[in-house]
Amino acid sequence: MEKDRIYFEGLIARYFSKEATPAEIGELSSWVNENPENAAVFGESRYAWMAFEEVRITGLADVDEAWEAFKDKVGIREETRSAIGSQQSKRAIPMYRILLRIAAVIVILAFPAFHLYKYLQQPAIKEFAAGTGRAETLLPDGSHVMLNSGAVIKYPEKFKGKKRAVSLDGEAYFDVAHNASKPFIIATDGIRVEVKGTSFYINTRSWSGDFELVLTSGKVELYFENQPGQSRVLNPGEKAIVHGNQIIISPNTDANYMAWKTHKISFNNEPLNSVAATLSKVYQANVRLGNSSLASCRLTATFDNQSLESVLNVLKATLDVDIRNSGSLVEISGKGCR
Amino acid sequence: MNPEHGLSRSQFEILFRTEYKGMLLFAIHYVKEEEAAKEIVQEAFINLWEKRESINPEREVKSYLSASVRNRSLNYLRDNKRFNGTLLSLGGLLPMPAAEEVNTIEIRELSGQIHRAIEELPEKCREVFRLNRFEQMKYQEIADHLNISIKTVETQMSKALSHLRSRIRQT
Repeated sequence: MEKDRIYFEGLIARYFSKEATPAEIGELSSWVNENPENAAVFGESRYAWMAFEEVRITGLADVDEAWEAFKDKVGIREETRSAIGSQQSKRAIPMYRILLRIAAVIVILAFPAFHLYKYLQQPAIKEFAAGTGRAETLLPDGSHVMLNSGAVIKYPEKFKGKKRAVSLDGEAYFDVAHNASKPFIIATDGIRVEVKGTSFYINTRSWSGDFELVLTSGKVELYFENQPGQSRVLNPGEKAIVHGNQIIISPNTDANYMAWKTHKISFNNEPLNSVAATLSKVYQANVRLGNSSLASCRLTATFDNQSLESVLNVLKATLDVDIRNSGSLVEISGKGCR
Repeated sequence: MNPEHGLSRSQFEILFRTEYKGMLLFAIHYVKEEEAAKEIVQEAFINLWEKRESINPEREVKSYLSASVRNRSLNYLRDNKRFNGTLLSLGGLLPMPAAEEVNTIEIRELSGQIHRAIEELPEKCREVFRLNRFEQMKYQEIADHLNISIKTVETQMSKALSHLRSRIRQT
């Protein structure tokens, strides 16, 4: 099954790069239609490939050419380039035209220069990214941030003004230095989290695509960028999910929300599919169930800073399942539990 | 001209040059066809040009522009119901998903995710992928060029796509 998977992932890439033969396309087609999982792999691959192509094609677009085409269309004429202009160029250039040109040069230069000046006035923005592992950093106010892989935080070199504002993309744990007179604000797309000395977990792009926040201690206010007056307050132990334009607050039931940071995992009669999801997240691995009947197996266990390998060994021993670990994919197989 | 209102010719050129690619990506994401997308973006700029004297350059321009590109893209899709763009003639295996509503922030994010994902690829894998996508080389040509087996090219391409897939999730 896993061999199959590797073969078809290769075939999908060949299909998109137009290397696949008609017979192979037929073969791929029946594989895709075999079951929803295969169709999902294909659909996700197509989305990623097309998104890449969109970015690639856009990157290659010629802005100069587009601007010329636009000018032709709306009939902007640049006098210096028009036919009449070049015929006249042998004559002495009248004074007013010289003035006009100088003025034009100033206008065009003045704009970028103005922006550059404004930009230089602001404190430099620093960017800190976690890459493929976890990473931690201290912010200029002493607040501590732990980023999970792929997360990026941007913050000014110095917090000037009345607020401490940072922007976050991804998953992170914040321990914010207390400073009541200077609120700490985390900005993500359209959502603002305002903090008053506190620690909490935040994920701006959870698996479901929603924004998630779990508060460990202190107090946090959550609001939409365009509705700062309508904030929701979170208490410790609560979890907020922002789904579309709704903020949903509920008690946090996920005991392992911090496991990516602490590598402490506890399962309490947890179904195996959710165990697989937690392990995938904590170990940055791709842990999957070979068949869906395995989801009926439940696990109760605690792991403290153990390797994925030893966690998998425990699964094998307690649940009577088989595990194949190829590095890129961990597949749990077996008959399922009752 | 009142400096508070309206765009001068040079301001317009600056706007065009800074926003063009973002708008193009926005349109391509909807219509999946390069030429159609270029036309849509040009029309949106022409429409803006016609209104340049009444528009507030600080505030409205960008949202006006992106709304205009989005509406034109959706109209284009409505009028051209076939959904197999020339960008990628990938019909066949599964029906194309319906156009999702996106905004320019999401598009900018998508572009960032893709750049990051490409940077994350191991060097050899990235080189194979680059030769295929940017130099338009066939697998065999890449194998000859890098003096590796075609099997290795296949593996690297598959790896690159799997990585992209794991990083670029449709939300």
